[in-house]
Amino acid sequence: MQKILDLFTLSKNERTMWLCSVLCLVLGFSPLLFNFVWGNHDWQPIVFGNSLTGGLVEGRFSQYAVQTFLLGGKVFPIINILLGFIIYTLSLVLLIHRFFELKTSDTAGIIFVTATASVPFIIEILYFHFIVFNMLIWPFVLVLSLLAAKKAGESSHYIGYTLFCLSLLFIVLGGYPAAGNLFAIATSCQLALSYNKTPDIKKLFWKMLPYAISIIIAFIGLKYSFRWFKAAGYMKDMYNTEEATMWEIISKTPTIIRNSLISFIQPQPYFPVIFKVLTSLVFFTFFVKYLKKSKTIIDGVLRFIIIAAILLSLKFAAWIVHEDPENFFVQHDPASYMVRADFFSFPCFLLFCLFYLSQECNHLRKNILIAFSISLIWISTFQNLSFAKTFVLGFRAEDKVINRVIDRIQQNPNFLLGVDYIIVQTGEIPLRSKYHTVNPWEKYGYYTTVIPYTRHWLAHEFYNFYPPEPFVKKGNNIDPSQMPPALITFISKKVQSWPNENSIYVDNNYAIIALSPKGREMMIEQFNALPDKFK
Amino acid sequence: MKKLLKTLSLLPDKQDFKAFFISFALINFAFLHHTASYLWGNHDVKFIRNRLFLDSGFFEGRFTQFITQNFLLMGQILPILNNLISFFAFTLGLWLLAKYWNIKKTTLNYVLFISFLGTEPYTLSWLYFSLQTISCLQWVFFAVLGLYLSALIYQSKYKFLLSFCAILCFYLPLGGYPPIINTFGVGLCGKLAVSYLIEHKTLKELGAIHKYTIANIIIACLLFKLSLHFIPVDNIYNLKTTDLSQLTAKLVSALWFSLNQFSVTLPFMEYKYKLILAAMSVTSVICALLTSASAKRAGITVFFIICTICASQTTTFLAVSPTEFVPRIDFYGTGFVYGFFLAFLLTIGAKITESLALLFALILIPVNIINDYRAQWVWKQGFDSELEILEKVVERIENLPEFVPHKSYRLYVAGDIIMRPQFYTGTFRHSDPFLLSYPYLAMWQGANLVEFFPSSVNINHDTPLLPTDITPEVYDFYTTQARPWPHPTSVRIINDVIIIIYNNYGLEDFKHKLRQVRQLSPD
Repeated sequence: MQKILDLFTLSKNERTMWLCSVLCLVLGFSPLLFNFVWGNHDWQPIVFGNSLTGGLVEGRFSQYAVQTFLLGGKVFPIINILLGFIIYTLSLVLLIHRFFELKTSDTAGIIFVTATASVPFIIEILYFHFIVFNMLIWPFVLVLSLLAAKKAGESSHYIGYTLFCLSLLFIVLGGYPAAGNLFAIATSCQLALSYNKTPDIKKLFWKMLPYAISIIIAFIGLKYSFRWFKAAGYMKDMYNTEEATMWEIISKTPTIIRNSLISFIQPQPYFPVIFKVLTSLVFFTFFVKYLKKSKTIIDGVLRFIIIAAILLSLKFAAWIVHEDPENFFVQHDPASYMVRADFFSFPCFLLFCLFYLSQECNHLRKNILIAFSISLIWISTFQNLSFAKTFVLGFRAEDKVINRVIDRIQQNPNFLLGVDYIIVQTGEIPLRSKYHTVNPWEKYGYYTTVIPYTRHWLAHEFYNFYPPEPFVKKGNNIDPSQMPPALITFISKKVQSWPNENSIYVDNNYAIIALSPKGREMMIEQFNALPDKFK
Repeated sequence: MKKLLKTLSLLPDKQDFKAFFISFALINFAFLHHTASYLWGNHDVKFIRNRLFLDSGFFEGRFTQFITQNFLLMGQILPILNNLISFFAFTLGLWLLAKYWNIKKTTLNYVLFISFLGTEPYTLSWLYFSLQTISCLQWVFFAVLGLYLSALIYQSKYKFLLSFCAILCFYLPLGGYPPIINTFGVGLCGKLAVSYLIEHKTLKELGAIHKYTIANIIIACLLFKLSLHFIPVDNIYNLKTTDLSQLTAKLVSALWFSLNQFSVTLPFMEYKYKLILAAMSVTSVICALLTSASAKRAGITVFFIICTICASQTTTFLAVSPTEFVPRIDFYGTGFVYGFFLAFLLTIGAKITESLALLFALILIPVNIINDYRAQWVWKQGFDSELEILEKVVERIENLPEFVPHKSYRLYVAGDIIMRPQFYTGTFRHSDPFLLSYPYLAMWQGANLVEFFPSSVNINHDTPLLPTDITPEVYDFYTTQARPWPHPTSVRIINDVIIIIYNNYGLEDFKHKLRQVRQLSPD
């Protein structure tokens, strides 16, 4: 017990690392802390909270476990994000000092951990308020799992620790499968370190076996639990729950390695060129330093394989997920570049590289590394603030639209109080990007700059949010056989896009809004596609 | 770096750090509501959405204005950080000023001095336009660093290097906001007074030490004037300097304004507040006279004090446009004069003067902060109310049957809506646009404002309302039927032009312009 307690007793320096990281994140996201704003899935959780089984629909059986236990499943202003920051930064401190056991000077350590905590990979996690707490807790649980795997290789309780590691990993994968990236990258980095210390393959095999067993069995367990949930009717067939076949995994390998390398240099929204240059310099210096240690050709080949493993681990989730060319979210491009999946791999790798290099470098190079990290803290903090600014302004702008649409519907002479309406909103108005200055080289950023707060298929959530009496019922399908003549005339002859007065149709059952020109066209197209008997 | 700072006596010790961070925290606390609310002024609208470029200030000759913003934030105006960076640089500048004026070094003395000067409501005037906050507060640091380095030249063997750095420190702020020259003047004259009375320097010694400062300032000013020839500057009001023939008349009026600045009340700086400031100033002068060793020394000290006061109006003396009693210009002058009087009390060294300084500071710092909060409350209410009106105006535009979403419209806005004064109950003799009377919904920013939140309004920024748009129907409508906001006729779309009439003044002005157009038209 004492040994376990020692593992979590932080030294003064570690506490400083932790505090600085938290403060840096708080500064970077203070507009989100001061203003209670939320993403498009949050409208109902904001009011009702999350239920323990709320994530089962997409197989995320443990998604709300910790939130339910600690916060009663509620989504609070400040607390959810702040607690998340506190736990996430703690996991970074434990990861570097307890798991990797890499040490450097006190000041350098504080700077490296703060630089890692502040990198903007966290921004996409902060978009959905209802999962922010859970998502930021998984790194901590994963670090515990990694520590257990490490302990398994060192102690006589090999099976016990391996089982413990496996259980924790399974719980995390049940909350957010892409979080497995962190386990994978930390394992690969540990492999790199261990190979440096003991190049004996046999010893290395036994040392790394608990990690391999855990990750394989946890993912197999996840696959079978998905099957069971689906069979029992708890879970829907979702795009993000299909795993790739072995052949698919093998054939995707070169693409994933390429994507990892591209990720190092590809500017994205809130990841400007200078950020990518600084981080990729750190990453490539690590690769070069690591390869330069090879003494024989075989040694070199093995090190090369370890580097390939690191690159694959960086995009582990994208590697093992089944690619569906029909679905935007699981195409290797852009899925490979999703910042929220990268959140579980890149910061860990950056932290590892910074500490590793500071041990390997001479005084001058270490100082350069510190200067790099300070620059990273600065760039990351103002990029985080820039994200928070666009988030808040975009939210305000879209919020105004919703309120005006509600006003328009309720002021319509056909509107009846007390009727539960079927609302059909065609099209969306994403306004966040209005406040983001696009860098000419940047790519990707659907969640960070584009995705609207008002998704058309969640109309009942946000149109019921502000009015004193809810007036919208769940479900947004128009029954073609029940279409009143006025609605047919509206769609076929009158409909215009928002804010035109003919953008809204209200009767005693339906409220239809053509929110964007694209939405209007879609509505007309769908109507024209109906059999003639319905028109 | 450490060695260099040590050589320049700039390496901060524990006491410096403590004083700096306490003062920094106090200054941030004084403007916390503004920092947390993310307010912006009417010039900022476009830049909040997009970004500032290095050349964004060139048109008015401010060629260094956005260097820091671009270097640190890639030209973005960010919530929280914009104010934090500004206050950091400003606090640093004031800490350096405390060292330059040789205030007796204790944590308390430094905190009192820095916090008093930093929280003065003059600082508020630089928070109205977010795009200038970093730039204009950091210039204090550069100006004081220039003065500090210039004062070291006399004893240093690196005369050329120090002169070069000092000239750069004067030149950069001049290129960002020329009225910083007031700070050069007040800082230097204040230093002369302190050195003469308290450090017991002779006039000869003062001349030998500070001749470099004067030379560096003159060189920087000449370089600044020269630079303006190479920059595409518009012929705008705030770059015109007084003709030689007008200098005498200007000198007299500047002297008059120097005296008057102690009595003129401004928004959030009402008479009671000014009275306490005046009491502190008078006390400081009396203490200086009483501690002078001789009548001659007292007389010369008074002369230096008068110079310090008059230096605060340097801009008014040099510029053609009236700049007297404008708080953002007085921020660089009058604000520092008050700071000088407090510094004087803290520096004299007698127990009684220290007690008086403590008393005044302990009264004035809380009063400063209260005044700052009153202003921030008024600003926030005004900002929210004006944005709400804007939202309603946009709604009105979008609801007009003639409105076609996403079509490119031209926009004409007549008049402004100014809500801040509605929430202010104080009295003052001289109003100020930045502190109180500027609108957030300024008519000339109409296009940027109308586009700010909505998705479907698209304004053509290049083509204004043209005389050809004034058909007889338009003329008749606006000269006989139109009424200002919120009347239904206040927002209209005529072909591809959106016309918004905000107030009666705007309507009358529009009518006047329409009549002029009609008189000029050949029909």
